[in-house]
Amino acid sequence: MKKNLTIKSVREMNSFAFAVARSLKGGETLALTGELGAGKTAFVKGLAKALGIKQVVQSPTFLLMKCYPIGKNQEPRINFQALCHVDAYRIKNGRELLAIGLGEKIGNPQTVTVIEWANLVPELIPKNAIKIKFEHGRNDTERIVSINHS
Amino acid sequence: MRILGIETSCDETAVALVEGKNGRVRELESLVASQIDIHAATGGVVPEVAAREHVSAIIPLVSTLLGKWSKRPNIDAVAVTAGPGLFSSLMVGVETAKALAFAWGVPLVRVNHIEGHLYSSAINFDAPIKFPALALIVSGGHTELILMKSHGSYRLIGRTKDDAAGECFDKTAQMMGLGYPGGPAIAKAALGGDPCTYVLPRPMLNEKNFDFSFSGLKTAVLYTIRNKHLAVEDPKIAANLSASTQAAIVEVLVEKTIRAALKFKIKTFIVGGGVAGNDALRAALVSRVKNNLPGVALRLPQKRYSTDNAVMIAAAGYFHAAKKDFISPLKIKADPNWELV
Repeated sequence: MKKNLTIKSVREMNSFAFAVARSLKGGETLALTGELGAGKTAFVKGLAKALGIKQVVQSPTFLLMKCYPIGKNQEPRINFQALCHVDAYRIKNGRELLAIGLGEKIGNPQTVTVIEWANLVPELIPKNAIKIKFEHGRNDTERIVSINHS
Repeated sequence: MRILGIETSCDETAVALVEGKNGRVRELESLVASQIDIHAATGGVVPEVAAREHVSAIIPLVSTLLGKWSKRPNIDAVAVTAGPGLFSSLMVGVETAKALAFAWGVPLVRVNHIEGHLYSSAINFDAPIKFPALALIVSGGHTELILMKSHGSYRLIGRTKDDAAGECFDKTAQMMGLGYPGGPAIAKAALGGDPCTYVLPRPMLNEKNFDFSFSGLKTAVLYTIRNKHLAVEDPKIAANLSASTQAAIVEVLVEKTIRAALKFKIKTFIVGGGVAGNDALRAALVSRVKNNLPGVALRLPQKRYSTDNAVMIAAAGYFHAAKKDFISPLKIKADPNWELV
């Protein structure tokens, strides 16, 4: 499945993230690519909101990985327990992420893992990952998003 | 009191020994993994220490540190960063600290990494902290404003909603091709530039809260380069854009912090974290505290204590130990999400 979208506002980004969230069953990996400022973290914020996560999602560029518990009593019911937010921006070798425990998260049915700058660690991305590409649009508030899921 | 500090929350493996007495702390010795020759210390068994492979570095580091004295110094407590950070990284420090405390029969202190940054300005500083104190902790991974009512009593006043200030420096430096780490690179380039050249936003400056946001500024710098077709490889353009970017970051940090300082009627103003080493920020704070907060003591840490280190952890450990605020080695746990407040 491949789809292209033009997103013109934070609200539209949140709607897109909400739609993606609703399709998740647990165990998926979302591989996000796109330049600085293209909307990757904004998307994850929307995803977290859709999953009932109350904590503020900050950029994990320095921390590398941060996991959030899914909100309880979500409607419709969410069957996994955590969202793991990873950022490969500072990573030179995928091994570094494995050294901090990412291997236990990817594919774990209780977790959905979302990796920003996934293009920097291709060796870690499973073949069935949901690939989402973010691009700057024609003006400062516009973004082009393409989602690719085999 | 002599406190051994251990810090392994994220990138760096660090150990340190401090002497604390009458509310004052001084560094005796400190080491970070990137400084020592791990290859030599492990007898060639470990060919290379990759970033964050703390488990290989920690014991050689502790041995090397303590080996600097002909007789192992008496240690009164072990202090370790138990969070926040990366679980697998934190665990190395926590397990090592547990084992050392248990083997030596000394008490153990768990320290919050952010609290460590808060105490970085207490190191080698003669005057004790007068409360209430306001701390601006600003680094690559954190941007927080914390009110400190007394040792160990903290309240979060504001934090970043997205990117940390240090991260903003790093990413905008990358956009300009200035290299890593971005903060020092931008600060250096900015020396020759005019901060008024490019108009950049001061995000959340006028909102009636003490939160911050830097991702919009990051994007604004990108769009400035794109829309004005800036040739950032031209040193003059990079200098002007660096100066403009730095000015925006510093202005937001300083304005909101001064406002918080006035609101909470503080007596001491503390700065900590890697960005506390930025000269433009330091100069702006010195000037604004002098003009707007007369009588308030500004404590800037020595630059070597701004980036992640174990000396600050040991220092924080001293203040906990002074109140006998210990934890059993059987109870301490690494907590990647440990919120100080």
